[in-house]
Amino acid sequence: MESQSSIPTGKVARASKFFKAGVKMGGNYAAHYAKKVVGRADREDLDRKNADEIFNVLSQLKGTALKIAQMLSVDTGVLPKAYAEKFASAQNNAMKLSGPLVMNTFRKYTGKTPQEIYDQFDTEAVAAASIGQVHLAYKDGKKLAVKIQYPGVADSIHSDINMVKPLFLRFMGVSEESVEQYVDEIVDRLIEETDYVKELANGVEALEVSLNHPRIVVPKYYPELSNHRILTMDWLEGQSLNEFIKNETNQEKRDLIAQALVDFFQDQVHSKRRFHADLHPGNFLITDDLKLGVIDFGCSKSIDEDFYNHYFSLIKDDVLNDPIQRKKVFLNLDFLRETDTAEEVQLFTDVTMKIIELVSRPLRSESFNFGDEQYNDDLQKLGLEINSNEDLKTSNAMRGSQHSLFLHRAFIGLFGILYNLKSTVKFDNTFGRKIQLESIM
Amino acid sequence: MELERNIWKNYAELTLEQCVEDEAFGEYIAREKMLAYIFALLNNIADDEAKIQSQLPTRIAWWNNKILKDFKLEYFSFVKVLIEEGQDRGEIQKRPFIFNIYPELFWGTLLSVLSFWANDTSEYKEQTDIAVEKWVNLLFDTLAPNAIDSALDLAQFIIKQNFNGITK
Repeated sequence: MESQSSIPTGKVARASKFFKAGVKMGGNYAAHYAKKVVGRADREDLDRKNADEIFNVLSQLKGTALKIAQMLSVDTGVLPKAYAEKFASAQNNAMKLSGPLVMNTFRKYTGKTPQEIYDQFDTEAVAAASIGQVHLAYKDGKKLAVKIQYPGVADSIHSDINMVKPLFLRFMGVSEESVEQYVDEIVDRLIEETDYVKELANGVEALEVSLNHPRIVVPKYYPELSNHRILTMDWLEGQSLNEFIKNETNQEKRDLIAQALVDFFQDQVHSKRRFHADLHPGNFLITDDLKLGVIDFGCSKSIDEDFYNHYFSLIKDDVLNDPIQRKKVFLNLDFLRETDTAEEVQLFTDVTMKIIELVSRPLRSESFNFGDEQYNDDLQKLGLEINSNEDLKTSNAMRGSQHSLFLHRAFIGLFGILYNLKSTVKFDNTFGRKIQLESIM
Repeated sequence: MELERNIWKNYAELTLEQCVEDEAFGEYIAREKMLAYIFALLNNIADDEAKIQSQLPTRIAWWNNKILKDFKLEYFSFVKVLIEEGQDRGEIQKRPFIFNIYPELFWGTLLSVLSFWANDTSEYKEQTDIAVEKWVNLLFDTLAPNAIDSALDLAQFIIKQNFNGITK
């Protein structure tokens, strides 16, 4: 309860935090240009200073503002990837609901107290989530996890994004219109995430997919014990994926887990066209019989047929290497635009091709070793190359369909986990053959 | 008028009754008891919201309202016990001169919450839930032993020392 008092919460208080960051960043830039004049500019130093500054401000936020900040900053590369982990730990310091407020939430949404609903209910939360907290309960001999959402989260999403947006626009030097579609996408996902009924439906579907994967466990969800703000599911026992990554020395076991994750994710994408879009270690655990438990389906993304066909047709060489086909697909996916000049077409085609070649490399290989430092280095190098390309610092350089945002986020998350597991995995590359060329005409 | 006074008195009696019957309530510290009491009260008045809105159109109306007279007496009898308990637990600091107005601070907190509640248009009045926590935290953080108490303590000590002439 005490943690609440120190966190700025009013709209004004939060806005003033951002203002502070803006001013300080301006200060850093001033120092940068001053250095430039005397010939001691150090771009890297400046970026690190600014990144620290932004992070310090953003990490004081909580709930959705923190999530938006995290997504925009890490996924768009405004902040270096190392901050992703720092953000994750900032999330864990989120607010805590007092005992009476937990009771009150139950009364409001169910008309009953938790003691009336469950055989046993721990008022003290066992874990904090970004927009809620988890309680342990028992009913009919079953151990349950009960997730309760903080009040007012859904209400604050719009005002939060309106505060986070200007800061990023300014830092990335892009226009408001060019990020509008991404911002809308993030808002849509976040609003979905605050609806636990939706999460329950996602979880039920994931459970269905998991039946094809003996090494995947998805908890059973209880609709009769859930509503928009309270979610009841089976308690999964196990060590966290981070602990497993740190402590497990048997590479075969690590590979089994990695492969299970890859298979499950691909099955979701290719057969359901809906997937877990929040693949970070905190959403997974390892059971004693070496299965991968998947929890928290709050952030799921659906993709439609048209986007799916175009996006994954890029795995086909006859699309990627045929300039006419390729241009059509790039236009559809918003990597290229009809208004582009010849130079822009050349520039964005080159950059996109480089990214595709590198990122789809694991998908194209028979099997791929993520422990290979060379691959990680190549990814880092490409990132640096793109970030330092002055031609890409124009206002229309934000490219890619908004649907690709969360798909990329999922791939980044997946590759990150596979890299940490140092695993060799096989991707299913047969799905590309099923995409008919006619469907992308 | 008489009728409305009684309705509010009943809210207070009902709320206290519910709190006492709730098993968890006994385990709470004073700060949590205050939260539980307010949540229970808001739950009880929720059904009559439209009526209350028409009785009390402005914020000022909460402060001077005669309808709340008996309700306030009931509330004070709860608050006095709560303050004693808070003192025993070290949650509330007894301070000379201003200790007597502590119940009024509790009254102000409750009225602030009620006026927030009356104007809250959010779904399920979720914003009020947040407001309750913040008001109660402010109240209890104000009453808890803090730097001012340490400063007074130090001042008292120094004055005594000087008076006794020990430091000379």
